[in-house]
Amino acid sequence: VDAALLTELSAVVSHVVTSPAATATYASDWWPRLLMQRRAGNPLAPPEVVAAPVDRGEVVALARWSSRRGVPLVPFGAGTGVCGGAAPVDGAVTVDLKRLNRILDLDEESGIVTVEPGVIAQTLEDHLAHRGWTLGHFPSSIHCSTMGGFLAIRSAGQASTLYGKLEDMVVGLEVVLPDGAVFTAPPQPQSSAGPDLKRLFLGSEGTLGIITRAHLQVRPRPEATLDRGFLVADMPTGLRAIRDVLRAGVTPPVVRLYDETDTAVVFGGQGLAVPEGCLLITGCEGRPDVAGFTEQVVGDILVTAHGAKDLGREPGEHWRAHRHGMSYRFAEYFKPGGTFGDAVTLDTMEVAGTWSRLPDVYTGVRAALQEHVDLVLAHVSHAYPTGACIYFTLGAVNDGDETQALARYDAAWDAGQRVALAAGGTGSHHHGVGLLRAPYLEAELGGVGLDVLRRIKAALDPDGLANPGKLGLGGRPVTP
Amino acid sequence: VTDLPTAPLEAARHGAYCPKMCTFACPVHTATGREDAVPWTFHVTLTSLAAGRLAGDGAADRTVACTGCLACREPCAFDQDVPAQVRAARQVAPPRPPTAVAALDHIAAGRRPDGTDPAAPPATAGSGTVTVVIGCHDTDTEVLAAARLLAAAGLDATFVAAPGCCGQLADDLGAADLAADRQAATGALLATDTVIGLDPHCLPSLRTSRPDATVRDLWSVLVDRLDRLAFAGEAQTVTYHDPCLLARGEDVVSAPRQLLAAAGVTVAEPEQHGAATRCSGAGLGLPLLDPTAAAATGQHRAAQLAATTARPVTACRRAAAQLGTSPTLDDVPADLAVLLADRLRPATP
Repeated sequence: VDAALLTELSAVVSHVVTSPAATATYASDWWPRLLMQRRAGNPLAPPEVVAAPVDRGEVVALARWSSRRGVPLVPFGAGTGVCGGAAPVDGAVTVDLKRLNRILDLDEESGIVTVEPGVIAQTLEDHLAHRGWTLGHFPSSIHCSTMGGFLAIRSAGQASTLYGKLEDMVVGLEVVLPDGAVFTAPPQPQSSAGPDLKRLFLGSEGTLGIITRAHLQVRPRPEATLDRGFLVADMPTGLRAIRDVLRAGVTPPVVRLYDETDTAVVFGGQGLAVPEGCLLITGCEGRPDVAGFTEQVVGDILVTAHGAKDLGREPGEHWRAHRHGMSYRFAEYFKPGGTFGDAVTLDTMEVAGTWSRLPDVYTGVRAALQEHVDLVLAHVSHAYPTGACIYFTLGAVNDGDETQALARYDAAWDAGQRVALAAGGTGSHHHGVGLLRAPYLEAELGGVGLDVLRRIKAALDPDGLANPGKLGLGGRPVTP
Repeated sequence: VTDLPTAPLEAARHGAYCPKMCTFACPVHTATGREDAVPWTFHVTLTSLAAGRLAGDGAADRTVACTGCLACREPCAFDQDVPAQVRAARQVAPPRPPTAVAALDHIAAGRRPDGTDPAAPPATAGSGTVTVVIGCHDTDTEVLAAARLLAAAGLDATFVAAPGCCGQLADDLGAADLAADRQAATGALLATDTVIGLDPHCLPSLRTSRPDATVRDLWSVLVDRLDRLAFAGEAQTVTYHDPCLLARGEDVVSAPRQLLAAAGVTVAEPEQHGAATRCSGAGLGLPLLDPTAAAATGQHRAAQLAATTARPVTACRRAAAQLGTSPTLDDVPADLAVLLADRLRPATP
C-alpha cells in the first residue's frame, strides 16, 4: 500500500494507522496456533495498514476503494476469533470495525434490537437487561467479542437450546458487498420470498462482504432461572437422556453433559470428591411457573427414565457463577511459565452430530485427539432436537518445546477433524472456519457444495479481495 | 527497557495472554470503539516496551486511552491493575500533548494544573485533629461546604491545599520525579494522623505522602458521625454518579447514599451505579491527553444520568467538570458536599 494509496484511503476512512506500535495488536486473532507462534517468538507480521471506519458510509467508501485499487480487506472485530479468520493477509488492509459500535434501536413492540457490528456482546446484553430484555446469546467470550464477529462465524451461546444459535436470532441484516453495494434485508418475522439471503452472509467470515448492521430477535428477560445438577451413569446414557428431554416438549435453555474426565475436573477443581458417572447440568428459565414446570419435567425424565441422581441446585449454580471461568483463566495455563510450564498445547474443538451419530463422533474424536495430546476433556454444550455439539478441550505439556507444542497441536486438530467428518459429524459447530478448518471444508461441504460456495464468492467478489484465503476461498496463500 | 516496575510488568506479561475478557468493562472502549482502549492493549504495550519491541517515542500514543477507572479490574480473575500498568508505561513512553506539558509546567511551578494558584484554605478554629487536603479541582464553594459538614459533625479540621498538585496527576502523566516531589511537599503539610482527601483521585497519592497516616474520604468520615448531623429541607430526588475511584478504588458506595438518605434525598440510580459505575472520562489525565476520548466517555455516562431525569450529583469535581461538558446534561452535576451542607439544619440558638 504505497503513499498515494494511503492518501486516498485516508480520504475515505476517518482513522487509518500504519505505525508498528498501532498495528501490532492486529497481528493475530485468538487462534491458539498464532498465539503459540507469538509465544515462541515467531509472531505473524502485523498488517501494514489498519483502517477503522466509523459508519456504514465509510465502509462503503472503503469497499469501493478496495475494489477500484485491488487492495484486499480483512475485517477485524475484537480479534478474539479462534480460527484465524481475522489474521492479517499480506498486502491487505485490516478493517477494524469496533468503531461501528452503536446500539441503534430497541423495538419493544416487535422484540427486535438493531446493532452495529462493533458492539461488544456483553455491552448489548447489559443494555437489554436494563430495559427488561435479553438476546439470550451467552458464549463464554461474551465479555470480549463483538456482535459482528459472532455473526460472521455463526456463534452459539450457552443457552442456545432455547434461544438458538445467533443466526437463528437474525431477522434482518445489512452487508456491504466487496464492490461497495449495500445488501439490505429489513427485519421480517419470516418470509418465503426466495432463498434466505441473510444466511448466505452469516458464517461467511468476511469473505462475501462486511456486516454493518443486524436486526436481532430479543425476548423478555427471564424472571426466574433454575439451575440444577444431575449425575448420569455414563455418556451414552446422558446423550439419550438429553434427547428424550428435548422430545418431551420442554426446552431448558441450558443442557450440559460432561464426560467422566471432564466431570472429574469439575468436581476435583472445587476440591470435592469425584463421583462415578457424568455430570449433567440443566438451566430452566422464564416466568416462574414456566421455569418450574420445565425443571419438573426435565428432572422427571432424567431421574425416572434414565436413572439420574439429582444433585440439587449447587452444581448448576456453581456452573453459572463460573461459566466464563475457563476464558478468564486461559492465560494462567497458556502463558510462558504457566501452571503446566512453558509451551503447553491448549485449545478447544467443537464438533456436532445428530443423535444417531453423536456417540461415534464422541468416541472417535476423543480417541483421535488422545493419540496426540495428554489430556482430553469433553462436554455436550449445546443440544437440539436432532442432535448436539460436543466441546472438546485438548491439552499437552511440552516441557518448553514449542516445536513439539505446535506439532502436537497440528496433529491433534487434523486427526480430530478427520474423524469427526468421517463419523458423519460437522467439524465446526460455532467457532467457524477461518484458516484453521479451511483444509477440511471440502470434506464438510462436499465437492459440489464447495463449488457452490466458490461460485458465489466469484460472483460477489470476482477479484478475491474480501478476506482472501479464509474459508480456503482464493486470494493469496496464508501460511501461519 | 529494564527500569520498569516489576509488579505491573509481571501482571502485564500475564495479561498479554488473556483473551481480552475485560473489554466490555472499559468505558473508553465502549464509548469510542478504539483498539488502543482495550485494556489488553496496555498489557501488550508494556510487555513490548520491556522487550524492546516498541520504542518509547512510538509507544507514547498507546498509553493514552485509559481513565484509570478500575472497571476492568471488576471482572478480572487475577485482580489486574491496568492503570498501574498504564502509569508504568507512561514513565518510559510519556504522552506529551501541549496540554499535558503545560499542566506539568504549572505543577512544577507550584500552581494548579490549569495555571491557577492553589485554593486558599478556609480559616478554622482550633489546632485541628484531622487534616483535610484540598485537591487541584476543588473550588472554594465545595471546600467551604466540606468545612461546614465537618464542623457540624464535630470534627476539628485543618484544611491545607496541596502545592498545586498532590502528586497524583503528575504520576498519572508519567512524571515520576515531579510526582515524588509533590508528594513529599504535600506530606510536609499533613501534621495529623488522620488525613481526609476531598478529591478521591488524591487518596492514593496522599497515602504515599503519609504512609503512616490514616487517609480517608470525606463521606466515610461523615457517615461515621451521622448521628451528629441534622438535616432539614424538602424531599427531593437526585441521581448519584459514583466516582470510580471512590466506588471501586475505595469501596465507598453506601456512605454517600446514607448521607443523602439522612438528608431526605432520594437517589434514582442510573443504569450503572455502585461498583459498576460508568466512568465520566475524567481520570488518569485523559482530559489533558485526549479531550475527544474523555468527552466521548463522559457523554456515555451523561446519557445514563440524564435518563433518570433526576438532578445529577457527584462526589468528585473532576467527574462533575467532565460530565458538565456533555450537551446531554443541562448543567454541571451538583457537588455532594454542597448539596448536603445546604441541607444542614441551622444550629438552635
